[in-house]
Amino acid sequence: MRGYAGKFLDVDLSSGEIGERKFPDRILRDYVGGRGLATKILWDTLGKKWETVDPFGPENLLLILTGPLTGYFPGTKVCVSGKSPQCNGVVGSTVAGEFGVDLKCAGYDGLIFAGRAERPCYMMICDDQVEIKDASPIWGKEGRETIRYLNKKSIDETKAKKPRYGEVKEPSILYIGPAGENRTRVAVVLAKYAHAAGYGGYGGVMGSKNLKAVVAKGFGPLPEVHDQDTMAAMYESMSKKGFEREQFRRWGTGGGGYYFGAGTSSEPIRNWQEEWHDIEAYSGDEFDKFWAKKYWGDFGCPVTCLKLAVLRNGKYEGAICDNPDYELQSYGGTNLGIFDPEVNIHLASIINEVGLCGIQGGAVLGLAGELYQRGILTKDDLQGIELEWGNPEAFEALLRLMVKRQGIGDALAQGVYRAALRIGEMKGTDLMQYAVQEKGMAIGGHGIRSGKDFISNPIGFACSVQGGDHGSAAHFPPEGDHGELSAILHDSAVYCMFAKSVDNAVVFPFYEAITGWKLTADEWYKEKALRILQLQRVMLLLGGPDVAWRPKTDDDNPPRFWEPMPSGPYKGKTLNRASFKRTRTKYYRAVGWDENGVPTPETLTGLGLGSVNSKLKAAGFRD
Amino acid sequence: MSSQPQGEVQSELFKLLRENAQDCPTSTQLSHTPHTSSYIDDLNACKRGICMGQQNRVSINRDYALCSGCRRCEIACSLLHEKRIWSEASRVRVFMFVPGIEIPHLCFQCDRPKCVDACPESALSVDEQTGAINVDAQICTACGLCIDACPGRVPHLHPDGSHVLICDLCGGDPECAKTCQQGKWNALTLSKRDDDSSTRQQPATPQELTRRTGTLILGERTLREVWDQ
Repeated sequence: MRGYAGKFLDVDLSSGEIGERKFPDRILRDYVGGRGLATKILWDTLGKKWETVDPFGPENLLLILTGPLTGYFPGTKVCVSGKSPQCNGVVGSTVAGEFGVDLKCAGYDGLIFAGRAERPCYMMICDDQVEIKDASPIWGKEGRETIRYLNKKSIDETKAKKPRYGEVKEPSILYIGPAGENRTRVAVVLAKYAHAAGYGGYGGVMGSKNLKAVVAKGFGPLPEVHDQDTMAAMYESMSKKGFEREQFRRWGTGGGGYYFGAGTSSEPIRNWQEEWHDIEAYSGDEFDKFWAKKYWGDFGCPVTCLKLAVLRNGKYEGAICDNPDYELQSYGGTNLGIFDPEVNIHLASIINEVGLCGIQGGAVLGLAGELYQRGILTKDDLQGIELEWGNPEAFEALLRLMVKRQGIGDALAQGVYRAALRIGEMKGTDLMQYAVQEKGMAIGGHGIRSGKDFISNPIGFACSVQGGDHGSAAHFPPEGDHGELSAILHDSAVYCMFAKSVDNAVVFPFYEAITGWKLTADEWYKEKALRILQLQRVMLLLGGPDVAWRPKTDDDNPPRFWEPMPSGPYKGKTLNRASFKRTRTKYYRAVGWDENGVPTPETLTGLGLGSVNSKLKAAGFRD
Repeated sequence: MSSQPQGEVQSELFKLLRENAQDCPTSTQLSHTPHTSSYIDDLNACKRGICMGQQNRVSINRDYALCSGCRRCEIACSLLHEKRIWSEASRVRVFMFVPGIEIPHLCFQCDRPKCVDACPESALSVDEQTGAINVDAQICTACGLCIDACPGRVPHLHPDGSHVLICDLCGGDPECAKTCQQGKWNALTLSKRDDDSSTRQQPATPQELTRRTGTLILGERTLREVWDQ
């Protein structure tokens, strides 16, 4: 079992009990780590009663898992999961930073949290010393205050434990902001200032457990690997490929705010009413003026695609964020009618500080903007806020209501899908035509109508087992570097897909060099990844308790994506319904689902998932 | 290289690697891939003074504002010295008291090193060839007096607690600076060691360097807000 620390921590926050857990080799070989292992753990623990599990209830699990490649692969992440309060299935949500490395160096591959702490707490892991500590001084606090407190406290405590060690480096911290504490469905788990495990809504799950943060410091080495020389040689060669990506290194995703509008017509603008703009004031060059560090990255990264943006003066002095990355440039900018880099950096900084998801939060603010534009939501509904497009103060005020779940903010805190339902009920009208989402999750800022975005795939969101996650879009054929089975590789072996500069064909031998376990592409695409995909699909379909997705019917694009593009060089273009249906049918067949998108008994039993088949039958998914 | 990677893809990558390794003065004399066992053996031979003369002494210059925080210097250092990826055992450590303010911290090679004077066991000495501080791990008792004597509080104990760790300049061709320049970050660069110590960077603690760099990047007010000094 090389590449793994060999044990996980089992933490029951209700009782305060902490135990160690090991998984047999065969489980690790099949489910790897991260997203794959999360799926397995969730199915085994909660599968039988999945529909009744409240994502915010103590029965849900919060998983923070590394993978065997974490730390060795140039570009590090850690995977956060659980039953998602957005899609009510399982999402593998990854976040960059050193946390995964520190955790493995402390001797653990992952953390499994169950229950709910009586009082706000945080967890401190320093090698084999694991403690649940009081978080009352930081409960309610925003990002930078939380980091400031935990950094200082943890360093002081570690120094006291190791008086002769010398200066002690900071630990790695994962934490939530007020948006998570207040159990919104649009909250993230954060690292540093702007790194977030976004999709899935696990900030709220962490908040529901009264867990403010997890702090890890490992003094040991990364676990031993199977073939040190090949690992070192491949680390170098993969890094070199990363160094060569000049364009991406220079701009990161920070040129996207202009490019995805002007270049590919696939950027959310005013709640996706448009996807094209040509505003050069919103280009990478203009953002560049605020970049205090032009290359910013995390452990082992050869690309360092992040840029540190800081506002040193002016109205919004003190704002800090990364780039902002494209998703925040669009959802915290163009989607609200904002085309000013400085204002966007300010809003992105606030979104991070309160622990909101840039995508889910920005999407629901955009939905409110359109409902206001159409006179469906009024100033009275919005506690006096005049929600005009492009007005940062108005959107910030509404954002604060959302984080506190006050007034209309409580509906918005439920995310785009549920907010559209709730406000629709309130107004006695169907608003789903304005909700750009997939299975409870707002879609990443990558429209598919123009056909020019890198996703540009009519079934990408519709058939994904992670709903609107643009990092896990479905693709026909499912095998190869461009589909969900590939995303499952990155998120289960747990490394950064942005830093990944080689084909998957190189990842498999690297996996073997680390673990000593041979893994062929065929085994991955036709068996292991497919098994994880089925489990995710089944838990997504089972859903509950507040939503249930209809297979096929709900495997569709949001209504807005079927409307013709209103502007830009691709004006009039839209998706083709017949071709969409054909591709969907082909995809269903290729991944072993029946004509309604339900995994067939043969598929499930063939992958050793007999119990899953019985559950589907009992839940009424079989005739 | 004791065992060459198998398979076509790997061989191709391996070739690229070798070409890459030829950029540095030491590696031109080595036929091995960086960080692999035989490379490390050869480099250790260099450290014994085979290929570096005193006239080629180097200093490592640090530009903290350029540090990306990638910590590839820690990886390179620990792969060379420990044959593992082991950040805490790296002779260069990147301190990040404030996200965005990353400080690669390693020995400044003072002219009259206080750490050497402070060692009660005479476990520390200045390398005649490179000017680096050599630690005799067999003699060192990990008392920590050298850490307190260092004006930059640079040395730290090996995580196993057995001895103190101080940068040895990798025998004159430091891996940390190599990897930093390879990635074009250039936070760590090399220059010929100047005999006039007044032009060299002076030792400072990670806290002091965070204060200086943080003020530069964030401004004084914001730095106070994000960091409890």
